[in-house]
Amino acid sequence: MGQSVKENAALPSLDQRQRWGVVDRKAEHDVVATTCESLRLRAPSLGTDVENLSGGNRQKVVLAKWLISGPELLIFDEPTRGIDVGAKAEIWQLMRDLADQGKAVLMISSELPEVIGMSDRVVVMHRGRIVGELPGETASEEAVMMLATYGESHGS
Amino acid sequence: MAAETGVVTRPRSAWRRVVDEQRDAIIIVGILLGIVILAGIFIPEFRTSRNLINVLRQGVALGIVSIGQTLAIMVGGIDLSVGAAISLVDVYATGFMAKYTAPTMVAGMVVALLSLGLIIGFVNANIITRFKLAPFIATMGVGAILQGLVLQFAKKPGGKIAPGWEYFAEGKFGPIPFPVVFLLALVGITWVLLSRTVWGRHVKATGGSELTARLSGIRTRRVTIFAYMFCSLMAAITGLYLTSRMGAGDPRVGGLEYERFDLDSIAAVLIGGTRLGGGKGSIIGTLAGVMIVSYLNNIFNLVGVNTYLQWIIKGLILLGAVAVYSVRRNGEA
Repeated sequence: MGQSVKENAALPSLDQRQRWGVVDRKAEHDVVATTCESLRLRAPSLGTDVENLSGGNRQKVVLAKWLISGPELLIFDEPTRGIDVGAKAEIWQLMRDLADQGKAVLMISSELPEVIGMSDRVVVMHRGRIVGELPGETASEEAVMMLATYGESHGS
Repeated sequence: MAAETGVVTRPRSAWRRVVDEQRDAIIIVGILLGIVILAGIFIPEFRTSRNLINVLRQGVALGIVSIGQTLAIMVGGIDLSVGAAISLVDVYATGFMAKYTAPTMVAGMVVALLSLGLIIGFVNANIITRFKLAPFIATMGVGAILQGLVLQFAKKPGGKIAPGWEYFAEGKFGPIPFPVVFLLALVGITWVLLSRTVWGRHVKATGGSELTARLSGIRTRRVTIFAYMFCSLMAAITGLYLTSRMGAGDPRVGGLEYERFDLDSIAAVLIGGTRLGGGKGSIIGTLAGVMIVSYLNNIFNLVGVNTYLQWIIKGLILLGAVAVYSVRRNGEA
């Protein structure tokens, strides 16, 4: 992670902003600045090394990387693990916004309150298998835990 | 930059930001200036224009090979075969030019030897990426094979250069020696490659973290192969340059007795602030590192430090430089 916020965030989508292999740095600056602003990334500047940022802000750089590349499906694997509460709320809000924009958002999480609070649809897995699906409105901790432990009492 | 203000919570002046982002470069240029100024004050012979131009001329060989070494280190590796590659090109070129001196023959030879350089880099990189060997072992082995080929071809200095070939090292471009212009052109090209192209970004990303780079969709093996090919190509050019400078071939020119281009180039690159292990560094830093190593060599010779002591001092400087960068980085995190 020796690179600046800008170089890091731009990496996966470099090919979208190049001409004969030369990076269009103006376009790069604009797209990274806009994205980081919308993520409320806090850094002294876009030229700051990512390794000098806090955990939550590093996570936002990762988000920026993939948001810039414009995907239709986003998979968040434990997106809020190990980051502070404020940044957590921001990342939840971001996932909500993305879903509202019509992107498919798949969140993998072992924190139940997060799952219940965020999801439109909850799929519960047990030992690598899908054991049940709940609509977001009716999902409760009890219902999820019941499914998650179902295999334990009835399984082989 | 209005668009950036949303990102900044601690507003800082543009000057402060430049200082923050270019700290390594500022330190290294400061050290270079310090050495030059001190030497200028205390050693009268040092500040003659003939000496200063001479240092530049001598620094060119180390400069060219260090440009290549920068790429190898930046991509997360290291290349210990450059010294032997230089010697190989050197003896092949002078052996060939002893027999054939027609311009078309010489041109063909240049193309063939530059291709040889590219092949050496290709072999290095493939051994590293396919067999997952540590770069220093892989390139040391290839270097040993190349040095064997060198000594099989020529055991002692010999060979000749074609008429006109000496221009490469001795020519003048107005008042400036041609090799200095040549080196600066290579530095410029490499600077553009590294900091302005997609490929340069891919090199840095691969060196920073190969896994992250791969997950970001970068073909890291291909990037690595090109980096090593570039490195060996620069070594081949250095070999050609040395034939022009010395007017004859020498099987030990690249790394057995006088200057060790493998170690000196690594020293120059690391002193120049490129991170061992890759991902971070600059070609301008390398140029400063090359000048520091060259000026130190020159100063040692002017004040008559013996060769053994020179080696010891150079080793200490290399260790010191790496230690300073490494301590500072651990402190930052």
